[in-house]
Amino acid sequence: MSDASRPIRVIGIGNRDRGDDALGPLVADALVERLPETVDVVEHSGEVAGLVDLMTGARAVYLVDAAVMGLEPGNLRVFDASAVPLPALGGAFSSHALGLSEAIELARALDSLPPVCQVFAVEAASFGAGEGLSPPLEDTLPRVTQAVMDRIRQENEDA
Amino acid sequence: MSRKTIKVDYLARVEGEGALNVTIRDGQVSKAELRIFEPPRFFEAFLRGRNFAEAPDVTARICGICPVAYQMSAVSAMENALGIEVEGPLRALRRLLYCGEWIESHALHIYMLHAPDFLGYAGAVDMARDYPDIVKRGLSLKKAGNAIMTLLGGREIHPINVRVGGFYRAPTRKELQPLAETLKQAREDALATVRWTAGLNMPEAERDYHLVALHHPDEYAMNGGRILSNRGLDIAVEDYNRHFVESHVQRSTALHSHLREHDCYLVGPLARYSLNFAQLSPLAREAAKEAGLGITCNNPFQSIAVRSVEVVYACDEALRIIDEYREPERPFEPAEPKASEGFGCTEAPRGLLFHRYRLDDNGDILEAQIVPPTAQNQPSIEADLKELVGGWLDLPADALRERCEQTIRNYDPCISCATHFLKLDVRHE
Repeated sequence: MSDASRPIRVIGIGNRDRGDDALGPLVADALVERLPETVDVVEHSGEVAGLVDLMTGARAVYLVDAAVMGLEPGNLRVFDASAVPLPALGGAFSSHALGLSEAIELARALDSLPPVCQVFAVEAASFGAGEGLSPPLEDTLPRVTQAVMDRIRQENEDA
Repeated sequence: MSRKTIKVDYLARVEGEGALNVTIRDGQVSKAELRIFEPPRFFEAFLRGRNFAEAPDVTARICGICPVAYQMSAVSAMENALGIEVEGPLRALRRLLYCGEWIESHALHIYMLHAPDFLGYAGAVDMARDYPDIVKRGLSLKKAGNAIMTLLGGREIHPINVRVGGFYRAPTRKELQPLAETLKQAREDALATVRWTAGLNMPEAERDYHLVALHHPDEYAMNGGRILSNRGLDIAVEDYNRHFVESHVQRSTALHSHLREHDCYLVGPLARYSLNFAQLSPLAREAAKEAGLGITCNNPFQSIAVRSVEVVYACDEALRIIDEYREPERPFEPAEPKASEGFGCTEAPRGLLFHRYRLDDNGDILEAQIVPPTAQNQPSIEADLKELVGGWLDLPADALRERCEQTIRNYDPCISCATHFLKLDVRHE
């Protein structure tokens, strides 16, 4: 498959019913409206095998997730995971046994990691069941959405 | 007095987090305790005041790995309360959905979480570098399970198509057909998985378990049946609370389950396999035999092979259901609310999952009780460690700690479901 025919994929990771964990899916919602159809925008739970599958075959992936990094809630960090693993962030991306870092490294080990892999991690305040976004994340949502769009446009002429 | 301490602060590759303390004194294990410190999720309280129809969707959110199990036990309890029988194609579709979850959950545990223990890797990523094709087979098998969940559940995680009485929408025969092709390949992958797990270096361990599982005379029990044990227990699901008791222990935010007369017991693949071997499909029985498994299994480490046999069965059973499927006249049996109490028990991938609800005249939930398999197995995990660790004391400290972790992972513990998180501390005194 030629490089241009492989999709550019944005993956909003999280659970809409767990407080700030909804950030990834909400950014995905906002991006669907604003990005051309050539960019594939999906929501995902963060489950490892499914993530590896979504990364496989893409020419570029942009992953958006709420994280615990020891920063102020709402702070955005962008990591380039194309060549090196995500740094140890002093916390876990996910409360489950395998998280985003493992999914990226598993894809790398299986030679399935796209040449471009950018992670947009936003410091979360709360993962409470049934809660909406916390105010700092509500505030930062448009900024994160714009940052993902800018990065995709900068790196892909056809997006 | 000899005293030694091994401490692990975080137990990886289990669903959720928590801690284990093992104390060894003069070559004997004096204590093995699971400490659980994730705050309880209060799902039981959260359900009170909700309508009966909401229970499947609310409880599905307890766990991202086994949402179908929660839905199946919830609808089963509600149907018991409201006096509905779900039979024929609707019952078969539920069984098909459950097959999807077993395939998905077991494939994840076998390949990503448990196999690295047997091959000496820290995790699936390291293992994938040396065994990429094996890990890809695991991912592909898991994907087949996901495909069933997506088609029948409406989406991959937290399915939304299940309702009390049946489904919101039942698939057509044509819609199910593509699944059959996927599942034929998955069944081959599952058979290869049995052969592969049978060849893994298996620690020697024989435990005298009190095995508890659902039993159905005509099928490998998933969605219903009586609760049986290898020591003579044979009860209706409605009588669960007469025989099983939950108690609070200070070290855990999860309740521990015990049988009133027999103390700790084991639920999950080993129990199902040992009590229901005769109900497996011929292909699954044959695969088990070729793998050197007997008709019962008491070595907890062999659970990886038993799970693989269950994946063969789930693929086989899913194919049978798809082949025999006739579209139902309506996607669900209607339910009228009434003041009532209902009990439901199904076999989650990790074992027996019991639900009980009490409803008022409007069908609103007055009381909910959910007993997940990991809570039931918690005393058994402690008993395994207490009995087995003594035989491993000549292992180097790191190897001993890893063996303890492996012993816990034998259970595929879903600490999230059991309302907790886990850490490991092995102390030699």
